[in-house]
Amino acid sequence: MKTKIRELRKARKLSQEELAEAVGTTRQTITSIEVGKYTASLPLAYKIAKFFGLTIEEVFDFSELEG
Amino acid sequence: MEYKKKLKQRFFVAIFYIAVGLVLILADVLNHFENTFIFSFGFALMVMGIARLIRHRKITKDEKSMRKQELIETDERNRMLSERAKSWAFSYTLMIAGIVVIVLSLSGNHELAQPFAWLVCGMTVLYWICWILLGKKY
Repeated sequence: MKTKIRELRKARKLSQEELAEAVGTTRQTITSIEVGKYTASLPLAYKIAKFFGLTIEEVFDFSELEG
Repeated sequence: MEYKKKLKQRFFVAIFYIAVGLVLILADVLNHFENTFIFSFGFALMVMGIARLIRHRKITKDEKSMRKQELIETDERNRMLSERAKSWAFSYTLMIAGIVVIVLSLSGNHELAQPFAWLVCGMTVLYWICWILLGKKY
């Protein structure tokens, strides 16, 4: 799944480690989500979106599910 | 808090391993090393317990290490990897055991094939029991 996490993180000058710490996950999980290898669970997606002050739809791209 | 409780349990498990290991070693020493299997098993248990204790000490040395370890253990991707690894291991074991049964049966080793056949049956039955139980839970 495509996400805007990398852009949002870079705009706030945050490292993957810092974002991971803030949302209670590991750096490896953030890396996997950013490159689209792993899809975050709903609670984690919510935490990430909330951290950036956005909605889940604004951070995660659901267009491929809309087919 | 919950994680601290878990760590405390692990500490006691490590102590238990060391104690059982020591008892087995002592039992064999008192029997003049009659059963090397008991000695080796006891030694292995003791080493495992000590390794667990060292790891426990490393994790609990400060709040930061403890928090880091908790994060690693509760991380959803790590959990997913662990569950998938178990699932793959189960599937491959079942497949390999099935192949072994066929090969042994075709080569006339029916007696040797039987325990593998039972293993395949047992694992399949266990799989369906787990499936039903999980279906009721979720």
